[in-house]
Amino acid sequence: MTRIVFSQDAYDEIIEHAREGKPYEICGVLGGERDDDEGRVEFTRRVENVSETPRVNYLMEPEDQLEAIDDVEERGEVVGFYHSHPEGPEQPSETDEARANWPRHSYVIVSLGPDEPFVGSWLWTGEDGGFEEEEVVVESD
Amino acid sequence: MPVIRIPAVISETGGARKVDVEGETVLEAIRAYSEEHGPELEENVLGDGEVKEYINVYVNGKDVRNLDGVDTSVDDDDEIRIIPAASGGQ
Repeated sequence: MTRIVFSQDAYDEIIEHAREGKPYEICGVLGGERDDDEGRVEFTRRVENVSETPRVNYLMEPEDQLEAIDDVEERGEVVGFYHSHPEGPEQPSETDEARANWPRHSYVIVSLGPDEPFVGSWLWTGEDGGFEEEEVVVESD
Repeated sequence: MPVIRIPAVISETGGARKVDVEGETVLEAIRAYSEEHGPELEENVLGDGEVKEYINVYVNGKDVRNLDGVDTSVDDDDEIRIIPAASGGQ
């Protein structure tokens, strides 16, 4: 199992973003470093969700997504992408799996169910291997 | 000549590419790239002569869907970028 390590600030930011965006899905880019076994998320970049059905879907605004990737790559690597499920579930949906298209990148889901927020991460290994769940670690300052 | 930039995730080599290409439109440039470097890029990016639904193509940072699509003209030193769109849902 690979793992994804968040700085405390980056972890808090994606949860805050998800809460601000509720009842709609929010999305963004995760920046930091990645090797074969581990992604390290040190900062994030919000991206506008332009899905026509934003309560249940996200689609990054194309020009904002490109600018976000360029912003992240000025400081590090694109570790992956995050989005929220305002009412759960905690796992990737069929839509998430069908549209995943960045191999070797993490797809992080911030799920806001009735209880505490849940942050899960799945590495997209490509169409053959699909999603592989990652261990999520938060590094204290 | 225009330049095509593609990230490692859709490159036929597995590494990011930045390549000069011939062509006066996005379509011509993508086809010229594929003729030289293999069919993967054209297969990954184009379907029925258009940009595929969850692929983004840009000229100088502008989404070609807001321009003339694959018929968007390109000049010397214009930069064509291609990235997979990030999307999903519940």
